[in-house]
Amino acid sequence: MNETVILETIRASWIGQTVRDIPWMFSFLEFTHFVGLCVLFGSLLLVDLRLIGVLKIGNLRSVLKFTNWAIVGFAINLLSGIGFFFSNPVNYYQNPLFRAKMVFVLLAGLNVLYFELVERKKIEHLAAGETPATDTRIVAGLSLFFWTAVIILGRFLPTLGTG
Amino acid sequence: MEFLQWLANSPVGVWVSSSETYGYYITLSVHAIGMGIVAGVILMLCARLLGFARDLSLNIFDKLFTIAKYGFFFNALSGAALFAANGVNLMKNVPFLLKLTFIVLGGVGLLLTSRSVERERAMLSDGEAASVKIKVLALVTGLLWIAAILSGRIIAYTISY
Repeated sequence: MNETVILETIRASWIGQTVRDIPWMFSFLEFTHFVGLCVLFGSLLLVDLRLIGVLKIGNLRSVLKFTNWAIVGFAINLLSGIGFFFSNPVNYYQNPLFRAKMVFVLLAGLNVLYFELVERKKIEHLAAGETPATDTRIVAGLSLFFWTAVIILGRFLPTLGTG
Repeated sequence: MEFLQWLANSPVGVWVSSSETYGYYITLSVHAIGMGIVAGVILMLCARLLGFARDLSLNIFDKLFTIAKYGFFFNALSGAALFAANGVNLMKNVPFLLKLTFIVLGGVGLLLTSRSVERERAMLSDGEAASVKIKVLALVTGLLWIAAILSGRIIAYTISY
């Protein structure tokens, strides 16, 4: 199967059809995408700023519970994002800014993976108010940087196609 | 009306509406990041007050809200720039007027919530459940900010240029 066939299959799928056929569906998905953005970014601000050391209060075990909200926000945006993409896959696929956005989503994902596999066990024993070591702080800083880039690229998508 | 026209022709208004400078998209990006900071932090406070991670000290939100204030400031600025570019039509746009109303109400809700929290602070720090009053205030405040986001989205579909 080549690209064109794959993209056409995605377009013709029931998800693509639903988003195109129901008049309010695309705008409703945009609304959920924005709420998901707030849930994801808000929870990461709390977690990452605590890890970086900007916030020095609160024990890390409690703060890290908010990563569950980051997962909720990401899930909302993954689902609504799939809705956008399936409604017009060729347009998104060909948009360099969409590709760049997906690269940053991937980088943010790899960063989370590294945090879960390497950093989490180093910090769970830290006392309330204690700031983690430099490597953990860098990972937390990268998280905010990657997601900020994702938001900016998302807002610029319409300059080079649909978004 | 003359003032709104003057705003549209001001350097800021022209910069935002000109397609060559990407001013509109730069301003929208700032507005989206500010939204993520302000609404995001408020939603996390609401979750905490409604019972999520009850063992987390509420003091952490004091500093977080200092940062959220900068987010609000940048959104007032980027919002003013977006308004400058198209104030004539925005003043006639019902979703825009609703959005401003929800932001004011959401601000009042946040203020009332934080005042009630201050009164119950000692108890809340111990991981005790917040009072029903605080929970209702937190829930309403969170919903008001989500309503502000919703009406902001509807502007994009109803505004004329």
